[in-house]
Amino acid sequence: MRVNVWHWWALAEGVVVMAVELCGGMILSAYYGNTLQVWSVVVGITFLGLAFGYLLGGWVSEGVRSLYVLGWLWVGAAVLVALVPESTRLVFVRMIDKGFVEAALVTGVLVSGLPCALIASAIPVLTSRLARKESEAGRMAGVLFSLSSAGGIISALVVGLLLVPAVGIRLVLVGSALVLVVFVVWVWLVRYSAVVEAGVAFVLVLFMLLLTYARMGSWETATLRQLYHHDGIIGQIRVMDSYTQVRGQGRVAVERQLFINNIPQTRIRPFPPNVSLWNYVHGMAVVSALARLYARHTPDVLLIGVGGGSLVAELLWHGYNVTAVDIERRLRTIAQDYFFVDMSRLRRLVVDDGRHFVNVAPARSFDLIVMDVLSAESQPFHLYTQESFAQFFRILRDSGLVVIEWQETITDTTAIESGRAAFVRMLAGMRAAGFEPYWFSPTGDPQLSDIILVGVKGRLDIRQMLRQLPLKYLRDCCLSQGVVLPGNIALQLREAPPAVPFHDNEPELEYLMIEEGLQWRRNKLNYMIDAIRGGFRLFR
Amino acid sequence: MKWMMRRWYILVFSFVEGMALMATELISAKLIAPYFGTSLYVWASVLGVTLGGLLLGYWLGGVLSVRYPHDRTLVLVGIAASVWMFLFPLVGKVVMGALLGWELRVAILLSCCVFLLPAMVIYGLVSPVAVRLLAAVGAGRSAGVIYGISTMGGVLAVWVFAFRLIPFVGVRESAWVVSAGMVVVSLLVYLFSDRRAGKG
Repeated sequence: MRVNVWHWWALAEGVVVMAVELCGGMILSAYYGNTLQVWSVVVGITFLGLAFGYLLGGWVSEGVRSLYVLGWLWVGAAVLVALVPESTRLVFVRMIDKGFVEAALVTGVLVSGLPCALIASAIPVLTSRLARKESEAGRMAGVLFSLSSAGGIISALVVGLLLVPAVGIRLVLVGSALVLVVFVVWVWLVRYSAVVEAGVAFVLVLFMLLLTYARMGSWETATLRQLYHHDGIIGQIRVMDSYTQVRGQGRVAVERQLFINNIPQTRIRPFPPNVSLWNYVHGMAVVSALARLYARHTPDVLLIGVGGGSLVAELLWHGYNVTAVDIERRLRTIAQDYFFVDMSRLRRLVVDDGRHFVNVAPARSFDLIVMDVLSAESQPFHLYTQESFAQFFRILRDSGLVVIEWQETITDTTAIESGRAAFVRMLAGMRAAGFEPYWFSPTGDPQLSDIILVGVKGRLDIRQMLRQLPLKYLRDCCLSQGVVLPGNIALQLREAPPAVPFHDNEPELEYLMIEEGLQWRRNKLNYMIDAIRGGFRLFR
Repeated sequence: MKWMMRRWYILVFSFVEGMALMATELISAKLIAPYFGTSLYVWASVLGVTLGGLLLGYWLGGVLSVRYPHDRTLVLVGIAASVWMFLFPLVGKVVMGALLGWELRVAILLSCCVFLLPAMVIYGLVSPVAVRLLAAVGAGRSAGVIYGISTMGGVLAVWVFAFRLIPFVGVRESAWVVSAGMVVVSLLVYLFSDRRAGKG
């Protein structure tokens, strides 16, 4: 088979469709999060776009000047792709107040659905050009779709793993728009000598690109300053300082936060030592201090989820041997350089998925497991099943605790007693795995947005231990949080009512938490909306 | 178009194959989660192996469409997909259990190559053969309709499998639903293509 321009065109189609899909997904995650609902909106719209594009291409292929028409479709796609950074920002600031999912839907159509439809129309047109007789139709379709898939693989590797982390989403979109228009200009000049059309297309796309660059926005506004940015394995990671006027005092309060996909994960004052401004970290630190009482040696602790290192700082202060696990290797540097944690004092920092690490860790190797693994509004559902807790149980020594941070807003408290609340079902999984499960809310908030789950292995009376915990075992910052003082936690600790555990085979937790995730994203985005309206950049 | 609609069972087959393809991708990610998690490494491997499998499948499907341009080719491909999807959870479990101690990224990719790649190659065979079977309406038109319909099946699968079957019926059972679906449409093609041939 002789390779010609049509084969290259099919390959380019695959490359650009995948690049647009990947960038579209990342932009949508940055604005609207990555809950199952947002994800399915993206996939649904992209696939509908592709389906429509194939049908459109089939229809266009019947015309005499099909390549000429296809050229205009690709110019349209190039214009849309070039405008993505600006169009997504406009949709966000104009529509976010009217409806969150609606805004995500419109953004999905603009960043992925429409461009993919126009780009994908190429393959049927090319099939019709290459298949000279009926018997060749299947083979040519097979060859062209193979090349398109190959383009997709190349793009996923090059764009996803190299280009976006290195140069950012904006430049990748610029490159994609240019690839589209270069192919069109080439074909128009060679096949139709359409110099005027080629010139118009090129100038049009260039103008759109310049327009987008002129309105790029800034990394610094009156209320926010970005210190670090990376697009990586867990999404968009940013470290930012925020400035707020303290009412009536005439001074400005500064906070440093780690954001993943624009949801805050760590929050401290921007100077050492690392002291979290969130209660839950201190609540977990107080419960973790119990390991000093029951372990017969310096406790070996497994921390799953590093984030900005607030919990690492607490556990190191206790003098524990801390093994930390996180899937994102950059968090070590971030915690060290921006959040003042001496990461060299960790026994080990393992770059791995928490569940995988627990699955392969030797039996009875830890005295305490602490888990804080939120990634934006998405919680690691595969870690909360009965089977997962059975692995936790296996790797804990005979007396030990597992302490887990969970976020769930309960407005109807009967959900807890009746066992419908997600965290109650997680506790049921702990019980089925052999733990004695307890829970408390470190904020004392009746809506329970932060919930700490505690699983006890062995004969430990943790209420009694909390009452007896010497205060010298606690950092000053924990002692200053009345609600998480050991005595108060002992009073707040509650047993879990009977419920049905989650299992690996029925991953329903992710589905059950959809609304929660959306609500969470809405609340957290309020923090950013004014900054974005004021020209703050959301992505590179 | 009228002629194309007379062979509606090929369109139905393509639609269900599109559903099965997307469902298999979703099921794979959920099958992997208890062993290797849900990180981008998992999604990238699933996506990469899916595209790689389709690449091979489309290519082979093109060859198949020249040598065996018959309805029964679809029947055989459908049965092969059904058998593989029936075994899918078991094969996945055995492979991932064996690779658990390996380096995370290598283990995920190898697992996907063993249990996901064959499924994707089989699915990839379908569209070129279907395009050939409907090519009397024009190669471009046929390719557009077949790939369009198959992709629409994928859209429906997202809603049916991601929101209903996988969370509430189960990962393993969802694979079996896919398996059953492929048997049913294979049977459909078998029955109606015979009837059509008889009438013809």
